[in-house]
Amino acid sequence: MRSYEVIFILDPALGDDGVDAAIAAASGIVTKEGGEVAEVQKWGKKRLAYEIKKRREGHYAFLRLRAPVKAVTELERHLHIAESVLKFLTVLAPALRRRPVKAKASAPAPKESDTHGMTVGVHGEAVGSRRTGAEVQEA
Amino acid sequence: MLNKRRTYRRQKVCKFCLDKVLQVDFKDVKRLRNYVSDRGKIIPRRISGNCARHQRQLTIAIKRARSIALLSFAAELA
Repeated sequence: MRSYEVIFILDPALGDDGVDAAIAAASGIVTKEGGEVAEVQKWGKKRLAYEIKKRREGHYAFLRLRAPVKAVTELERHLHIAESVLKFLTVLAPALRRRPVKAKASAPAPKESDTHGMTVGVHGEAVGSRRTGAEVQEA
Repeated sequence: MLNKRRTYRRQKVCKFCLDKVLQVDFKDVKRLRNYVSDRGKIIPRRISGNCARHQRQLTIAIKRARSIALLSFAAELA
């Protein structure tokens, strides 16, 4: 079991129900394969930095998972197929450092800066884990 | 000493270190924006003043943000 962060962009034409349904479908797959969804965030409709499938905006959905590899591959397969998903990205969440570093570990938790209601840096305990990110993406 | 005009002092500290950022987050677009040029290029350490560790994390974060359309790969043709 590892922690992952999954972001996917949904068709802007979807209503709130559609977005919820897509998120539910994704989390359903994860739980079915023995993983758990630790956190769900809806970032709402955002403008895309570039055009994807002729769309200039999309609904962003963010999931934080704790799941076996099997669940993640299955989820990705689903996201590949789902028509309403414009693009998605899966990354390994920064792992917790096993041995606390003396100075850094005793320092207060990193400040939360608020970007569109997402929490930032809360999870980011790991230093020197730049290799944690197996990135998977889909155009 | 010869050239008196060059008196400005470069900002020497890494902003991420100041804020005690342990891991640069690719979701933090607001912050990442400060480290790309208006063409969308990543700003080098020599200019941004970041420390090596954070610059490494930053490049990865920017590339991730690009791949999920939070940042652009290149400025669009006007």
